[in-house]
Amino acid sequence: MRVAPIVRDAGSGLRRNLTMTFAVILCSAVSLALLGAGLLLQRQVAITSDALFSRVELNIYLSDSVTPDQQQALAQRLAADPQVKNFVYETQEEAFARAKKLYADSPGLLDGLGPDVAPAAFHAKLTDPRQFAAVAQEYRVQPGVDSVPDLRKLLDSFFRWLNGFKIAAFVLAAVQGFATLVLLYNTIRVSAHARRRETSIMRLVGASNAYIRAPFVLESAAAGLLGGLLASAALIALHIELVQRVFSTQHFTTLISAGDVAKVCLLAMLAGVALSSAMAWVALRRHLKAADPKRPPRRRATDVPESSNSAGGRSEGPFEGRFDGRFDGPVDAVARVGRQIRRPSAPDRVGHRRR
Amino acid sequence: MISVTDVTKRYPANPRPALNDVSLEIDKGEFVFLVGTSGSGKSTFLRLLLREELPTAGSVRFAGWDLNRLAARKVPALRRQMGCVFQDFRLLPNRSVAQNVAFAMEVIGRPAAQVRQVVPEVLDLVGLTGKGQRMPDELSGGEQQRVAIARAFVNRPKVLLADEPTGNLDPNTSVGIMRLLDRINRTGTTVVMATHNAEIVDAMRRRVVELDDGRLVRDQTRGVYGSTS
Repeated sequence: MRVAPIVRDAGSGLRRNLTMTFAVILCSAVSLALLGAGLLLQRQVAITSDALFSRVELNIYLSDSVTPDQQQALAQRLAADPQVKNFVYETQEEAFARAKKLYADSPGLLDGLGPDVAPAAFHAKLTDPRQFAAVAQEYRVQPGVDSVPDLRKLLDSFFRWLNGFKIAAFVLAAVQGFATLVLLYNTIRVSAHARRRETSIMRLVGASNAYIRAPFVLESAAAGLLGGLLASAALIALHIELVQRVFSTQHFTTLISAGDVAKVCLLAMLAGVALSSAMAWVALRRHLKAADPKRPPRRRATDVPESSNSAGGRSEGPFEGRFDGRFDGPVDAVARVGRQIRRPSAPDRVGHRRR
Repeated sequence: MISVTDVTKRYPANPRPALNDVSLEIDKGEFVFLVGTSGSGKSTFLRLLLREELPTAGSVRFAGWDLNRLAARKVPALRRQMGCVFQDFRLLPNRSVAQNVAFAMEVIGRPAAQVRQVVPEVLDLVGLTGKGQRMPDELSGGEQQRVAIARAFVNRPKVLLADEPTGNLDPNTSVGIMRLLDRINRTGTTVVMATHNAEIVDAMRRRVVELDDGRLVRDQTRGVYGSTS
């Protein structure tokens, strides 16, 4: 099978339908960019939660009335606990000093307060941060313990926001993607209609359905690829912007890497090509099926009634009159010829009556 | 070559069958005129051969294929054995004469070198030497029909189906087209031609099959247009 004619056909199809092609490219770019944004956000959530949870400390705040024995017992328990990687003990004085340092920017906040307001505490790192809740619960009930705050509860709302954005991006991508596919479907149908002469001749000379489809599929694949490229450009620009501006000044979490962005861009382009080609294939199924005699084309109100077509035609031209079904014997050949010359041409007589 | 047995074809929404119990054998290399008034079933007959339609009853066979049982994906292979010519030429207006002929070879995947070689040969055969670069609308009707015949013949089909190929042409031009079809027939290609052109049928003295209101009413080996004698 030769490729050059197919590519040429696809190119001319795209040029002929420039505005529609443009719309398809933009629409697919937007939906693919949204899809990519959703995927990147998902990746960002994973990175951020890993980063945060690996730094999470088990803070065991001791009550004011803790006895040295209780404190000793806790220290021993922590030292023996396989879940605890390491721990430090912070006295009330140390905690107050740390608080002073922490709030150095707001003088007066700690005025008149002494070390007794800051609780003594054990700060422990866990071997497995995912076990946080269970470990925290274990220490919360020990004597002398005032509280073991669950930091994850604080983080949960943060992650809920991120997840919300992610879901919103996916939903928008789905809606926009659907609109793109419908637009593509129509574009292909219009394009196929514009080229029905070519395709009908292709069918007559025995081109396979795959060959007839190929230029259309190639066209929409090209549009999908361009959409994917635009989406990738948008995602890369967004990533660069975030790295250089927003995230350059904070170290709260690490940002998704350029490699992640590249992966998502590649995926967006693949999705663009795959979805649009598949859509073109589907859109042309009906177009080609119309030629399948086993499935007569659907009748529409605008269709010419079957009886006026070549097969059952009884009143084809103004000179034919209505044929009553009887053969009237030898007909004057001259009259026949004359009638034939005057007879208006009836296009598509043997060929495809409707499409 | 072509074997039509007890074929009836009804179209939906029309109680009268377009073809009514028609049986016909056409051998390899024959030249057959299909005559009859408009609506007598000639075009339906050709459509059945092309497998554009399936018969309501009966069987159509072509070169060993049972068209009733032929899978849709095999239809292209069937049509590669057939060439088609129509009254309205059906050329692609935005392609040159040579491109129109080459189109028929390209879409079935013939190599470019072969296309370059064969297209001028076929244009010579149909009498369009040197007109390959012209556009269809620069040609006369007869010349356009020659392009269409070149396109139908370029893949060397077993049978050439022609639906009123001279219907839009003046008598002199028609004679030229008929000479061409006769020449193609002499290469061993079966020709089935539906026509209203009595002069041509009478002059050629070939097999004439007449349809009337869907029935086969006459089959003569060396017939004329309008006679049941």
